Amino acid sequence: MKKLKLLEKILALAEHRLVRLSVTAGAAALMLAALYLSLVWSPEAAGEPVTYRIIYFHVPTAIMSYIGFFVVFVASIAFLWKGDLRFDRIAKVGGELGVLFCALMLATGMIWGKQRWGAWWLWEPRLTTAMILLVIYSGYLILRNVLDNQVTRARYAAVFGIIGFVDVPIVHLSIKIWGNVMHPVVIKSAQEPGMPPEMMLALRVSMLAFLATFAAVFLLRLRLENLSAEVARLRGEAE
Amino acid sequence: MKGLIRTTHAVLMKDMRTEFRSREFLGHTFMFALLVIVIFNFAFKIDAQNAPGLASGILWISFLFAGTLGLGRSFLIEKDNDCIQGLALSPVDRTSIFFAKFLGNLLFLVMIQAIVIPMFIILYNLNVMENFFMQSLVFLLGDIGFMTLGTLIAAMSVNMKAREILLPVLLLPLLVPLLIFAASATASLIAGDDPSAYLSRIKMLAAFDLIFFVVSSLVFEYIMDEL
Repeated sequence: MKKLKLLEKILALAEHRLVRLSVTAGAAALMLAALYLSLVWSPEAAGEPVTYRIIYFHVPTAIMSYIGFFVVFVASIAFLWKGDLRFDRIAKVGGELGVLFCALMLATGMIWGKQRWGAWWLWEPRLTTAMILLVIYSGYLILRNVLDNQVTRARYAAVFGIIGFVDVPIVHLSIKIWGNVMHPVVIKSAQEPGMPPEMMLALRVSMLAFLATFAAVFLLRLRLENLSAEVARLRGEAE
Repeated sequence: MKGLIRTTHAVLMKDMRTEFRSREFLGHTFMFALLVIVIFNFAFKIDAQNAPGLASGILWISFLFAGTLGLGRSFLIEKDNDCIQGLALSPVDRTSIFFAKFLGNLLFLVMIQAIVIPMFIILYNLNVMENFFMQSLVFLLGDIGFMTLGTLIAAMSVNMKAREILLPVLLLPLLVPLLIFAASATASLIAGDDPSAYLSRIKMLAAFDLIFFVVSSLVFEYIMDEL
């Protein structure tokens, strides 16, 4: 019960205008800093074409897409458990952002790959997993689109969101068996960063900038969803 | 537990009876699966050299396509005369409806395979069932995973607009791991590889089945409520 109250407070805080504004402003400032650090300040990488700098955007988009899908998973479970439509709206926004960032990750990866590998696409485990993820969660958004009844949509989407997320590690495992590894792993661990400290700093700032952008868009989008749900409710009452 | 088995049995028998009285759908789907196999011959120009390499893929694609057709129908027949309401209102465990539909779909696919695989062996002169026991196990495990997720998604698709296209669009991406495990296991059994090559795939297939069977039977009631 206590935990639920805390959750209520967090949700109410997210609705607050000042929170939205400051997160958006923070995201803009961080993004400017990240652009400067990654495109101008950070050094050239030895033996890499200049397109290596795409890593500062590629890695954060990848992580943001995983966060988006994780939000879908958690909010889906919360919805099925509590039956509160607010969780459904959170899941929806998480899914949209996950798909958006997943598409950005693939696009940035392809631009880099064309320079480095000489091909837009390789049927490589990480790439293929990302593509399957994109297809699964695009399916999630389509599913939400074709159902009219609010409760039915919320329930089906939640079930699909859970199944989809459970599938993710299995997809990754299966594709690892099936393909050859080509994708570089730059940061293997915190002790062994695999890149100079300047680059690491630029990447960290970029990560923060994307996290803030994710949060800002998330809050704005969630606000819009909550408002349209409120409009629908009031319209229903008026009729 | 006893009640669960009894209601599962009752719903399954009802579906079987409907199917065997009309005897339409199984025949049509069988024709479709056979056609897929024949069409592949024209697309790939299959001969004795490339047949062993392509066989596993051709078989699994035809199973996936034919199985998806069968899935689409399994809940649609309930929708026709509002039977689904009767089913949803009956005071039984919802899980038993899932089990019954799952078993019905599984039986349907196994029957299709029982005709298509021998036809394949005859038409391409390639005995894919050399290692009969292991190959049957791979087919069965693949079918179980396919029909577990298939039954769940098919139940959802009944209420959707454009359900014929959405069922495969939602289902096939989820089945990518299953297809990889099953098709590679079948391929290495056809090639006569060392057991270590296919045993690990079979284990993973079994794990896939187990995970999704548990998750699907847990979440099915939320779908059943909305049918």
